[in-house]
Amino acid sequence: MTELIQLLWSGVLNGLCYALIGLSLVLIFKTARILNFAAGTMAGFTGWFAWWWATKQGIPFLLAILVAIIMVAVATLLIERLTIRPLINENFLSIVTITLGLEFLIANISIRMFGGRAESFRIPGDIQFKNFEIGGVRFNWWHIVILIATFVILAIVGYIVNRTELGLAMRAFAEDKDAARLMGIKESTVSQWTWTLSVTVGGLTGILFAPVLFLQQDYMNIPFIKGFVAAILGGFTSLSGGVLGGLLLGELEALAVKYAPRQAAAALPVIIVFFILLIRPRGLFTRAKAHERV
Amino acid sequence: MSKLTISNLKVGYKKNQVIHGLNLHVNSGERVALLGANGAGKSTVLKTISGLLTPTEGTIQFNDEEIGGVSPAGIVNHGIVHVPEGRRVFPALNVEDNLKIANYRQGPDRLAQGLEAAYSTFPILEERRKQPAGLLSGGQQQMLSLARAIIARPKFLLIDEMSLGLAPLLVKEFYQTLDSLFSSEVSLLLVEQNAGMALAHCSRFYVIRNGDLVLEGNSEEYRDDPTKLQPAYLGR
Amino acid sequence: MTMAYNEQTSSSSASAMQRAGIPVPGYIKRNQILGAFFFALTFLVIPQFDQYTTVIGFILVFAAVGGSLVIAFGAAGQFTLGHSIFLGAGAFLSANIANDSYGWGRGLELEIPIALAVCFVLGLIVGLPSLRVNELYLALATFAIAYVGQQVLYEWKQFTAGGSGKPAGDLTLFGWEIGRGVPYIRLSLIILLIIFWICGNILDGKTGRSMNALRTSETAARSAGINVAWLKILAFGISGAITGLAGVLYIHNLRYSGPENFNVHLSILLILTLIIGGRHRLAGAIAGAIFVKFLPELIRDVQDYEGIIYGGSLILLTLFSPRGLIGLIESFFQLLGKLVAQTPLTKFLPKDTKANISPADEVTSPLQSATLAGLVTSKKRGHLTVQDARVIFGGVRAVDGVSFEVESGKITGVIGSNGAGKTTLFNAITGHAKNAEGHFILDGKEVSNKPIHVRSLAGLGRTFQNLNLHGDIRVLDHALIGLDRNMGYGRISEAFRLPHVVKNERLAYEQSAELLDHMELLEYWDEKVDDLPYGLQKRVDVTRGLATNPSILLLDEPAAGLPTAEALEMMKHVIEYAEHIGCGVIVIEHNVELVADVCERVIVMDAGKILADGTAESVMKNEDVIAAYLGT
Repeated sequence: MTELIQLLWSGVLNGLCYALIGLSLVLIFKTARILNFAAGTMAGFTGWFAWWWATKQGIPFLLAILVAIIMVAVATLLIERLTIRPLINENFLSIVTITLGLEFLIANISIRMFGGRAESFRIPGDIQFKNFEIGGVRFNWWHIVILIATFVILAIVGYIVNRTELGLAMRAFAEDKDAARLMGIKESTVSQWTWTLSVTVGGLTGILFAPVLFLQQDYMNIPFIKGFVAAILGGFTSLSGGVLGGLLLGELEALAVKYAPRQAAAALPVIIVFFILLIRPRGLFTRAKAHERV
Repeated sequence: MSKLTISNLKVGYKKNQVIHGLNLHVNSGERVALLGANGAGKSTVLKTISGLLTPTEGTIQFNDEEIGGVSPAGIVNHGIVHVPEGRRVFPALNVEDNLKIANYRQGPDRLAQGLEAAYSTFPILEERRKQPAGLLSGGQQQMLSLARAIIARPKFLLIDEMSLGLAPLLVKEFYQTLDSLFSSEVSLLLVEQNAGMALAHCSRFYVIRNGDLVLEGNSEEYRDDPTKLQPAYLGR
Repeated sequence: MTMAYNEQTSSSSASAMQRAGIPVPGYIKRNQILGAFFFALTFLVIPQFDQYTTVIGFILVFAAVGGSLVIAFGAAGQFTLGHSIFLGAGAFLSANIANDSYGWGRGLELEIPIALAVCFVLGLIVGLPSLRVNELYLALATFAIAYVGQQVLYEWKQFTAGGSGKPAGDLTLFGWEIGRGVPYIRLSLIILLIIFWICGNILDGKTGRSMNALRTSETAARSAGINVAWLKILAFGISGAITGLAGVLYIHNLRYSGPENFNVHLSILLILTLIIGGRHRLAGAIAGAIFVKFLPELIRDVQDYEGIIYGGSLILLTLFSPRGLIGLIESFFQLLGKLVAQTPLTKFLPKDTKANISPADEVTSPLQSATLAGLVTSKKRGHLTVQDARVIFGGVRAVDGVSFEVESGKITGVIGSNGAGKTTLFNAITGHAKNAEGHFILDGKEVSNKPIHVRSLAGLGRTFQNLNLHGDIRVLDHALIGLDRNMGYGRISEAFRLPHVVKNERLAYEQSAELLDHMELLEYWDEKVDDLPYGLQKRVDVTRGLATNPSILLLDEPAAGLPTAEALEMMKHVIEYAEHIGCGVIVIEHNVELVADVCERVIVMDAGKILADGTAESVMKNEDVIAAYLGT
């Protein structure tokens, strides 16, 4: 029994990571209708950046995180303005290509700035190494921090999207671009804040999971892929769907590792994707229409 | 003041001219109808005024200020509100959110007043305020659309095909509501296929055919027998 | 519905094709000769660059994959991030076949065919998601496939030896050992040349045209009789097969390979090759391959900044040149051309053939030409029966029990106010309305519930209210696409450009030119449709409808937005041609003047039903009709 709970808990932990990445991907997809292929790299960069401030620049831990996040957010505003906004009316291929280019660019900058070797992210009090037990099940303090932080992030994003005027503008824009513009909503405003919010969420995820995944080159790339599977599970247009999808994927993976043959466990995320896209592609880019407007 | 003057307006998609040099004007507080058959270019004119499209030539002046080519957000700032064809409510957002959107960047006080006005005019919207707008019937969506216009406090209102797909009785009600809702200082440019309704509520009209202005006149002369417009609509 | 083709070519000394200066389809094109020249040059010169053979080997592999992607991505528009899986499959197939220790010990003579066959089938499977999802979602699906492909390779130990990877076998061909370095490169060059030749043939033939058609407008492609679903999968199959072949070359260059080589990153590089190089031309594959593989060599000193230079170039290229490197190069030459045109040097340059349409020697109507004669049947066709057509969507009865019958070869008009259900009726007849009910019979054949392209092949032609033209494709090709259904050659013959392929192409080109001439579009044959003014676009729309050689042609507001005089002129040509080939016409129009002039019979629709049906005069006087139109 305890083994099962231990297993499920590890699934939750991974699931939270996927959920956050999924959230950041859906945020951009909803409004801009594209996939940010650089999301994993950007998240990883932010984690490294925080480490750099804390370790190489000797700044206190929490401050380092703050500085890293703020600088990344500002950088995103710049990137959006310079490389995304000019192409906002082109087809998706151009912007996807830009994100691919950003992926290469940021990955390289990351290596140059932080060195190519693996590092460990030291947390004050070394709490990522401190465990405690409840009823035979082992928990780790840092994981609890992750759990709490994730809830906070989700709550904040939820608040922004559902209760602020900006969030309302984003949601309206995602549904009907022209109608939203007629209400006085500017495309540039929506674009820049969506990207900033998305990359910030990704960045926080990169920082949170750095002690868990260990700082290495491209350490957020596989979570990125899993995150986008999570987003697909959620239909790719539902924010909460993306989050739930992430948790679901985390659990399925944990169970598969234990009970399924190894090949299947490894292929699981993609089997899911294939399945969903072929059988039930809800929230499609192009819907199968009963009546085609010709 | 809410005067609109359009001179020699030409609008085209890529290399195609859809509007070929249009002249029209709406005086402050006037109600003018823009009539014509489907595909004549009426919606294109409204979209160009509201900024969704850019003129290739010609001028659009609002209170003597040039607004041709200004972005939709800028047009809204001028107090020109476009109620688009087909309602275009945000289906997944609830009714109240749809209304809030119309108050974009105008502050909570205006919102409170606006919501009150909207709900007292259309009580059913208050009943359904937390429901997704996509679940409303066609008529209710049109109410929502008009309510948004109320909240936006326009100086100049562009309405595109309000009657499309609605029962005639409902349409009559909407037109009456229009009269009571908006003070005589708000100008109105109304696009309609239903000539009779439009003429009953507008003092002047224009008829467009294939992107050209083919007739303009006073509604009085045609109210009793809109079929006299047929030649202008159909070209024979 | 295949027609027997008249084999005579025009006897008049100034055929439409000649007058317009349209190049006659042949076996070899000028570009191919140029390309072969460069290949030969490289072949000869390569021993000088001995130390670069590894890099050049990679460039050739990437160029090969790029070439295959020009078909799948450039032509068919399938954005795929999963091609690493084919490269990997080909590589490991080669390793397993060529290595003595694994029990086979054979050379390229077995590696290549097996890689081609296996990867073709694999491609068909990988292409399946393209039937359900488009564009971005397809990218996601293929992205996921690349990821799992790599996982599968890791796990499949017998095939790939897992993490430790497998060595490449000896490079042999029918027992002949081929050395590494220069001999390998020469072999790769030859194989690449053959690949490019085949890809070029496919792109120039009906398959290439059909793929470009489905990329630019699936709706219109289906209406032209193209089996879009099969063609999409085929694109993956062909591209996968060629990439598998490239994989064989790849592992022989690498000499050893593990699953870690075939990851998502590689997939991205592969498609980037085309995005950078330009995806519509084979030359783009080479340009992109050089950029992607050679650039790191050039910046070897700054290898540490590879990602920044790569990524940065990619971003700059996208922001400033959407058509990729080839686009940049083309623009450069265009600019050069403009500059030169302003100098006296123009005397020495060949004239622009477009501008010189010499008038025909005799004033003959194109309709009298013998080439077009091949499309004519002796009897009239297009007898259409519509029984109780119904279309309901969103609770609205768009078409509410419509029945009528149209005799062969007749011209019928359909009018009605906005929302009356006219276009929806057309959609029901042609198959664009998926939940339509009712029976539709054309010339005795039942076409209800058949897919769009099948109905088109049965003789139902149509145009669209929203044009749905094939944006970046030439006017001439719009006509050719319609005629493609009659091409008397198979896809394998096409790949090798056999003599009967050339013959069929020539005939189709002649016929297209004649048709364009009749519709007064001949001088625009080389223009991309997007660049034309609206009036001409409408004409192209109608022309491609005619090109499909329909039994009955459904025209949806062909005159919308046109001045009445121009519209009447166009309709005159259409009717003339229709009468010539014996097909019937049904036309939806708002321009009542036009309808009255052109149609013997007019059907009026309102709220999904038929309101009136008779001659134009009688219908126009009908009181109900007037009321419906003015909404009173």
